[in-house]
Amino acid sequence: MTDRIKAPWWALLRGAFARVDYLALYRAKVVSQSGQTLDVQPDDSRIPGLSGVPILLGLPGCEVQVQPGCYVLVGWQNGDPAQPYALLWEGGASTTTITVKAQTVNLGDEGGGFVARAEKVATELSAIKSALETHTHAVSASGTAGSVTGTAAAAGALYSPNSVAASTTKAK
Amino acid sequence: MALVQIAGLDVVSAQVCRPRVGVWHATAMLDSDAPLALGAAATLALGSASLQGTIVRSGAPYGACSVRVVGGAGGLPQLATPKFYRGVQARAVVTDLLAAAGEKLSPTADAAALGVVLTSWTTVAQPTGAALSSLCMSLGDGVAWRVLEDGSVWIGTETWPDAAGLLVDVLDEHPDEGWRLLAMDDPTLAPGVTLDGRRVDYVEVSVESATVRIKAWEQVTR
Repeated sequence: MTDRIKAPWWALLRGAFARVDYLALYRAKVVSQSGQTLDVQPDDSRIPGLSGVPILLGLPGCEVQVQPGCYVLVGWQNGDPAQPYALLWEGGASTTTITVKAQTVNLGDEGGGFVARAEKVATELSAIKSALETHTHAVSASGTAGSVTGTAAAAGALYSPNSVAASTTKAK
Repeated sequence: MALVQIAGLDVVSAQVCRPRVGVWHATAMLDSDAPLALGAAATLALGSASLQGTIVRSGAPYGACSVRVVGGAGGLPQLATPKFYRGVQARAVVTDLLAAAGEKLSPTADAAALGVVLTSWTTVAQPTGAALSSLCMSLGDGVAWRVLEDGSVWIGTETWPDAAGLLVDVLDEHPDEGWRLLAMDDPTLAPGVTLDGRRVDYVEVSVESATVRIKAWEQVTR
């Protein structure tokens, strides 16, 4: 059967067996997000729009910020109508940010090194540049008034760079 | 006048079911050759008890009126209107459900149960009775609902008052199945009471000619 035939058929069946299972999951469109809760509008008209629905990401320590309009599944913990939740994003969901909070985050694989943090790199490069532009050399000169020769001493230690490594994120 | 009447008409035979949780309902043959109007309010006179209900089916195919009456306004099978709540008392959900179904909340409903604050609540499009059951489950152990004799909907925690004042003859007893067959001059036994130390969970009144028998089912205890 084509979708055009199936859709009204399913609608008819749903009407005849009008039963919403609080233990099932239902597709819903994200209307807005506040913190880690969503306001959603389920596709199924038998279910009302839900607000402040907690996101269960399935991965501890993670947070996401998504664009409105993406789709997610909603259900109720333990089948309790007082405990809605949202999980399982549909492919194509547009994500603004994903935050991973962990003591160590490995990118690529384990055994990598800590990645450099851009702002620390910039700070250190700036400090090196400044040291290079402002350093001086001691010069010893000799000769007559018309002919002076000099020898510049080494500048010595110009600058000791600090670590630019991130504290939690490693990459391989 | 017969011991049992519906809408003022004598009952020839009937079965009246009175659950502790849910809607009481009755099917009956009446001493009439005309059907009753569907949707009309009707009083089921059961001895000295008057149960207020609504006629949901009736016909007289063979010159005898058969009728089905349910407690209240007959709106509890209707689908509830989907609605999401946040931070409301249970009373708000119940009020919405009953108003949409055309039913009334009993003034004797348990204020403590109805005062429970729900962090959130989702009413989906399911029969209103099922929606009430879902809500009761969230309000605490032992919270139940049923349609009372006056047709209003009661919600609360059972107190199991003693029905010691009722005159009852025990005709038969089936402890393995959890029921007793009773004879009563005034068949007013209702669910939710304690009879002879046993909690009555379901009452089935059978009327055949002039004989009235009551099956009283005990609450299942675990």
